[in-house]
Amino acid sequence: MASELRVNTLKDASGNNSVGMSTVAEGTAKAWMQAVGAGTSYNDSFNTSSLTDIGTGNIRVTYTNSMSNDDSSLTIGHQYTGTGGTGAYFANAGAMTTSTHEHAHYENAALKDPVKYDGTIHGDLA
Amino acid sequence: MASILKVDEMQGVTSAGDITITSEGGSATQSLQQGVNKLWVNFDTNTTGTPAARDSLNVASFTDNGTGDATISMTNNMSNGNYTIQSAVATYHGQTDYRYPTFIKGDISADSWGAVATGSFGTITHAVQNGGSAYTDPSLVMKSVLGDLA
Repeated sequence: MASELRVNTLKDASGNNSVGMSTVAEGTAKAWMQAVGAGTSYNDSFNTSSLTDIGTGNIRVTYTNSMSNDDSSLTIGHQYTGTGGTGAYFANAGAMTTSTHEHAHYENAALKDPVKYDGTIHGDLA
Repeated sequence: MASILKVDEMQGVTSAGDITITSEGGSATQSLQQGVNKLWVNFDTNTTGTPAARDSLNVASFTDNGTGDATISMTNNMSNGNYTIQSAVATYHGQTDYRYPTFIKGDISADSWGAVATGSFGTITHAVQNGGSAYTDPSLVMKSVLGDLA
């Protein structure tokens, strides 16, 4: 049988390093993923379901459990296909809903599939 | 009355590496371990020597690979190379242009992404390049990692 512990505050055994359960819950990432640059599959992920390849350099991530609103914090990182070039390199966060977010990857001012996409969501689960 | 749990280590009962927490809205549950950052660091790439962390979690050391290019070695390694990395660059030594991105030059223990199927998975190599394709040493780089620890 699963055990459930209800507690407001966690401390180490010495009574130091106190942290409230609200901080643990709020500070925990609600979803993360690493996807292949083609946008066709996840290498690994947490709380994600489908992955949509919208087009070159553009993907949509869908969550298994939705967020309570679309004000979540999305942090992203993309691995670039090369280190040369003279144009701008951008990893952009795209449209967000309670159940999805999008990535856009540019190299030399044009959309391009990166080597991989990384993304993390913080906020409130529904 | 507020309840306080004093403990040094927590493990799941069914699976040691899986403790479930309830969502803020109460309609879902998720793994605590999966949502916890496995590494974070705030560091100066240092134009004249090895990068130095201002504060960090799970960072053992830095290797300076040259201007704008450094490798972070972890204290506890990841279990595979499929982890997610977030990065931000805030300021630059002697520069005021904040447009320059930081990119993942080739993380995990490989010279290039995907070049190895096995390894310690304990390093991240990062590089910062400006709009003119030259490497540059920013004074403030921040990174965090989520994924599976070994």
